[in-house]
Amino acid sequence: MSSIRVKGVRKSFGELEVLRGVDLEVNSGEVLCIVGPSGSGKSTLLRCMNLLVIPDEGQIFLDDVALTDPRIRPEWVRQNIGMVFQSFNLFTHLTVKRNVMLALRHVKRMNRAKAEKVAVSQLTRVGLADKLNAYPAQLSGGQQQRVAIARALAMDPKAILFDEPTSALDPESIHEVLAVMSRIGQEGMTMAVVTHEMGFAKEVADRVVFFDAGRVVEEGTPDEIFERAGHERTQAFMKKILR
Amino acid sequence: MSGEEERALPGRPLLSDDLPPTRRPTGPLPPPITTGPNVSSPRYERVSRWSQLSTYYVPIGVACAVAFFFLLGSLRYFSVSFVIQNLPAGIGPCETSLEFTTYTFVIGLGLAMGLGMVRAHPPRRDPSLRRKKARGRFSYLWQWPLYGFATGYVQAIRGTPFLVQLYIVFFAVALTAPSFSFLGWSQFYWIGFIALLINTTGYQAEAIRGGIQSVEAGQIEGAKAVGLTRFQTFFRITMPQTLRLVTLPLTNEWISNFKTATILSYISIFELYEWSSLNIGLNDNRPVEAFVLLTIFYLGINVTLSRVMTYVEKTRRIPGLGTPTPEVGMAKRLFGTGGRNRDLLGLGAVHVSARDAPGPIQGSPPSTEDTNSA
Repeated sequence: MSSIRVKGVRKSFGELEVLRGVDLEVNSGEVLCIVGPSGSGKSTLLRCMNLLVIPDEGQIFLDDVALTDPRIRPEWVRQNIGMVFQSFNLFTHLTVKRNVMLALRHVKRMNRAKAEKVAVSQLTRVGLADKLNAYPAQLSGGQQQRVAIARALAMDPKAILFDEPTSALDPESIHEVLAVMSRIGQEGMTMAVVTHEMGFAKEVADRVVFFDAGRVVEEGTPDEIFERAGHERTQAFMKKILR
Repeated sequence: MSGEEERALPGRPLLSDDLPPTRRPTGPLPPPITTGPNVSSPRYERVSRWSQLSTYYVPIGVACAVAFFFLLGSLRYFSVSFVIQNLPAGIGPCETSLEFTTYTFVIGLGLAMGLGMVRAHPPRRDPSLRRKKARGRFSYLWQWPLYGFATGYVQAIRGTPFLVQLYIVFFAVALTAPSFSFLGWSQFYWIGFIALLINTTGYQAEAIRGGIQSVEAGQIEGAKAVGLTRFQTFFRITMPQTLRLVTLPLTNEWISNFKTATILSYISIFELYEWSSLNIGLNDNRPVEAFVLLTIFYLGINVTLSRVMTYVEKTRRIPGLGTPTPEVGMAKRLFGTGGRNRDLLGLGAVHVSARDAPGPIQGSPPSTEDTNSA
């Protein structure tokens, strides 16, 4: 597993300054939860990490490789850092198995038999061995999100980014997705998770970052952030959501 | 409010309690429908009776057609046997029409994919989304002439009549190469072919542009996130989805192309229209029969194709891709049975549920939660 380091990243969309100098580190094998109010730039930060959004300033390192170097192909970065979206973003026209196989075949250049083997084993891992030939629209939200996780895992990434993976789900599905995520975390995957699931952050995260107005306000262990927050902005946020 | 109060009102419509017990709707009474701008009037009063007639379009259309031919027949202007006798003779010209339509359609589809692709991706203006240092500021400049050409072409084709396009090609070719023959076709056939090809390419390009643009942004993002390049994303994700989304629009375009091909008769190409109007209409002096024959050919082919493609699209559809069409049974399509429409046919209102009954005006403000979308 690898670590991701973010150094002084800035990003503006037109007039709107979304990230105002972010320094952050996701250590190897660590589960980092990023919490904060909506519109604070959490998702943009996550997208910067796999170059779905190109930062205006600052640097991002995967281990010792500077991803922001223009010579680095964004495809290489995304191949090595998986991402799971709020809205799943599974390929509608492909079955579950072929959703997972697509990138293996055409990015990793595996042959069909090998790709199929990897896809089936990853889908079994997230508990969807019986849905191999279903289309995404035939699955529940929780099942779709698990397919998306399997799709990311199949690429054997160095880290996985989760962008509010449970925000579009019903409570039952939230549970099954979080269960899969905590298992992956326990198996030692480097994970950066933007989430509003404070229970998950408390139990699974190694570290929690409180993010507000394009900056890291505070970071520490879940205990430090949730129980003994130092910054008043963090205290106010926690008071609101934990009640 | 309760159901008891409604039933006490005079002049109420038939309520579910008037039905035999086996046909009564079960379950709790649905909430009253109160609509935003006109709260006091119940839903069924706002539907004009004329708009309900659209439910019966098939029987009405068939009845009108039958009545029309009976009228013609009684006036001795129309001979059914003449039409039937002349049907086989139309097959040859019909083949010519189909050849023109299909060849131009298929070649045009190839060209339209290129044009549609260009049209679906306007040159970028926002430099913030790309790496400034990796590529120069003007690296997307080359896209402008390409996009300009594609847009100009599509606008020109869609904004002018086919007849004008045909004559432009006709005179341009006729003035430069007055007489030639190529692959067994005279210059007139080639002129017609090229004009029709130019025309259908423009329309198909717009259909494909629409298809490409209606692929969800999330699909592209998902493809990027697993490491696919832009080209891989286009050919593995966008194009396969687009082709499914444009199946029916392209079917319509084929039908439209088939009908446009009648105009090729203006440059004496012996296709379906030319055959019927010249041979039957003028030589045999049977104009009505001539055009009824045309109707049979065109309607037969177009309706069949349209139905077949709708069926194929429906049965081969991937769940979640494209908008599903609502299931409508044959009985409903023919007679518009069910609900309040039945009383137009004199069958009596069979199922008017309590929710349609005029209720007392409520003191509470209108609820807009479930009714305002229409």
